[in-house]
Amino acid sequence: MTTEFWLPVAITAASAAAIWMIVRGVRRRFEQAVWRLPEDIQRDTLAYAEHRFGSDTRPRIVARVDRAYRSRHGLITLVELKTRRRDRVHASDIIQLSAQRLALEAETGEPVASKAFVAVQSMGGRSWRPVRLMTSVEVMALLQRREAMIIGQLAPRPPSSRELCAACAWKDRCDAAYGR
Amino acid sequence: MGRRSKAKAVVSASALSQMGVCERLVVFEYHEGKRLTLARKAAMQRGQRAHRRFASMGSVNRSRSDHCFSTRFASDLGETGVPMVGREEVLRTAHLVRRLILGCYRVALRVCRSTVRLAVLQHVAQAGLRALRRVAMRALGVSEVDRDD
Repeated sequence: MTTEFWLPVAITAASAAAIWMIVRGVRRRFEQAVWRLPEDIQRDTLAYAEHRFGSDTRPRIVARVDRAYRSRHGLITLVELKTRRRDRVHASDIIQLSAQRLALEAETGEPVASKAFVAVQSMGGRSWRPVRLMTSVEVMALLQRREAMIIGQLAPRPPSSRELCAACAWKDRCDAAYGR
Repeated sequence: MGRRSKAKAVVSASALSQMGVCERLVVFEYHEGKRLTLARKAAMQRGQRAHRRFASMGSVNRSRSDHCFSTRFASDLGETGVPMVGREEVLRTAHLVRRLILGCYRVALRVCRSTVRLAVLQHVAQAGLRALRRVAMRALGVSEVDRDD
């Protein structure tokens, strides 16, 4: 075999390798840049994005849904985006999504799944955290507790973690009003 | 007074979610309004930026109208959102590729005009662009079903 044969072969092989590496690099950057949907909702269609809903309760709950996906069977799954330092889900996320569920169901009449997703963008990257939502009865009970606290019928509880107090803008007022 | 009664009649999901953070905070914020620390303000701005980006990604599945001839040419269904996001999110981050895109825009119209009568060439170009779109959709996690939305 002569150089005349091997040179084109080598050039072709080098070109193929270069193209493969470029495609792989672009694909990797794609994956880093975009949010890949979790398995559960990958086949669902996007039903609502940044959409506002309102419940028929008293007081009325209004909620802006980041995203909601509709399955082939018509079941809606909620998605909420959170940016945080650590990749974790808080109780407030579950309350927010549960309130969104109540508002969306009341306004559209569409069934909303009890499982939702929190898309957490943290220092460690991006992840989808599945959460189990509260029932409408539990949301209403929470709403009533809030109302009772506001009119002074109930005393508000301190946070579960004292770490929150260190970064709270109300710390001085809180210490003066409730002690510590 | 009116403001108070309005606030009482309507509760946002995000305000209610504060119950999971601290009940005392809920009471303070209700009576005296929001008070933000600098760190909190910065975090909120970061969150708003991420939300804008997240919302634009959400429009991938819905976007049907834009002005990119090449991407529209690649699809009979007019699905242009995925290639557009690919261009914005990935390709434009590199300086060299930005210049390449700019150059492409400059010559694209002339090339399209000169090849408009060559049906074979159009089919070849469409096939190539369709394959690229499939790769992009797979990377984005957008299924074929989404396009029917």
